[in-house]
Amino acid sequence: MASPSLDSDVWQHIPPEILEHVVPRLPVEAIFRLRSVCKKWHQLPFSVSFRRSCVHPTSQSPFLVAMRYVDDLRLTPVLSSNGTKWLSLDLTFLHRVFVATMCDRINAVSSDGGLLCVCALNRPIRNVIVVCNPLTKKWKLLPDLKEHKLVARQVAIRVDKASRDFKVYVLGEDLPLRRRVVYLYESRSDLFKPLLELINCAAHVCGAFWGDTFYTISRDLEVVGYDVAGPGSTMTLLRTGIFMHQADRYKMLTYDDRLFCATSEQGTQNLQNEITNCGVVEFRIYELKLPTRECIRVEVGLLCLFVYFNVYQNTNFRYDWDFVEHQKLLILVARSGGDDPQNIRWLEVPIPPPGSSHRFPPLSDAFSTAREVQWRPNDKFGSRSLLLTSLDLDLNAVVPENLVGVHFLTEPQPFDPSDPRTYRLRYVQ
Amino acid sequence: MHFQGSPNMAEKRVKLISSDNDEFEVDEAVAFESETLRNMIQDTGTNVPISIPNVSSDILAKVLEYCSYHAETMETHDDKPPITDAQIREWDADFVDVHPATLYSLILAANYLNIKNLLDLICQAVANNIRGKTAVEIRKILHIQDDFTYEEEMEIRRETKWAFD
Repeated sequence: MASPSLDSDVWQHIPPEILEHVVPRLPVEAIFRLRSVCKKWHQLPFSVSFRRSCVHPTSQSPFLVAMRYVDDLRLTPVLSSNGTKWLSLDLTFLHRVFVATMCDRINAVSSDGGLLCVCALNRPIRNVIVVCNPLTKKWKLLPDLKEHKLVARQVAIRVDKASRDFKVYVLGEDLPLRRRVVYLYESRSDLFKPLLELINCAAHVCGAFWGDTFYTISRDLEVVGYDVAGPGSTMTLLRTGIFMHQADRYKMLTYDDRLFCATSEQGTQNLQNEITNCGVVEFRIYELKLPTRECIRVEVGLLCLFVYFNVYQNTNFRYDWDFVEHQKLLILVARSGGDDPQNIRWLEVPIPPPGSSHRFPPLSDAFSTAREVQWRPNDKFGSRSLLLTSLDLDLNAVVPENLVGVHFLTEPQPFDPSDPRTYRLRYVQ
Repeated sequence: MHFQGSPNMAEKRVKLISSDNDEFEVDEAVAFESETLRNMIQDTGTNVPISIPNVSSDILAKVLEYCSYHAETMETHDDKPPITDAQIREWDADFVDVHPATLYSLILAANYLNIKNLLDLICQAVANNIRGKTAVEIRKILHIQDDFTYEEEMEIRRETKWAFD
């Protein structure tokens, strides 16, 4: 559509009632900018009449949000929906909550239906889980898990589009006891309850939900499905045999009826040039089809990505990575121990159409066929942010009021992020 | 000045008088695109010319051009293929590609005459334009008072600085 210029002075006299027809036609992501025009527009996302009249209450395509440290939240890196530019999303309201709860590192993030769920850990171990709508800046602190030795490794939020209720699954790990539990929070009851305990599962495990089944990987490298619909969870062992050998870490995700699993391990590949302070981590992506309750190994996609390290003296093989589905792409991003942005590798591969005999590009082709996006495309991007989630913006995504209740002990004005005492949250039981 | 609607319609004609006292004659179906005119015609009938005191001749001609095109797209002709949605969109895009002052007058006219589709079309065009503008630019163009206090402004500045588009 042609966009007439608005440079003429006549627009100064536009009657407010006509402006009220114009504003709801803007794309929902423009609200971030509109809010800073005037006081009235600042309140737009909270206005019920505006939300009703909004022509595009949701973003047309999801944005990729990246975070790792609580400090990143003030300028959260967000990849634009066309994937060309890194923008910054202001999530200062979340930053405040985490500063007030003495958290500094985010350990899991998830989003669905316009809601973003962020989980951080404070000391002594307490999982601080917040669900928010980044557009309306409404947030809710989920109740305490009560099991204080449990470190949340993964969160997954699922929003029911019809009722606007949401569920949050938390995969927690108590390493000394080798105990792994999945907790379920339901917004309707506003309670966390233990859903299932994983038995005999692999180290650094992750899982993925597909319908009512939670898939994870057992210690003997088989895919295990836990049915969580019934009162007692039933376990199905799927002898897939896809994993050749023990990996260091696993990440899983489901897309349509397909389960993708990425693994990372210290590589055995010989480096072409023998630089002693470089190491290699190999990442592999596997695919499993989930047609029925049975899980059939259809094909094994193998993909390798090298991460080079500067291993100075005692610095061990430390690396951080994440694996997400975003706009029909599988994105795997990895970063080694140092702060050098050169140590970041970003790889995205399109998800092959279902039923095709497609294989992921073999090792030698991986660099040529997979588009390798230059990390740090602009200065706003903090390369430390490695937890990714594909976020749809939705003006109508509702975050219920805190039923458990939190209050800032001191009013958050003026705000000094360097002083955590400025804010202290209090749980009100 | 006479504005010609579709000629093969043997329907009632409606006379409209612009603010410049020019007379326009259109088919009733064309005038019915406007909710305001529809109400007036239903009240007074088609015999009396309807005066539209706050719309000038050139703008009224443009509005009637829009109305007659869209009234025409509603009809089905046996001899002509139906007009596709894509064609309508293209025609609409051309229609709003005018000088901003004209567009501004059109938006007021569409609002007064209550032509929902035209109002939607122009509002969308204006929205597309605002979309790329910064808060400061929007304030300037639309003459919106910056009513934030200093503290709020400091808080807001971060958002403006890192505007999300």
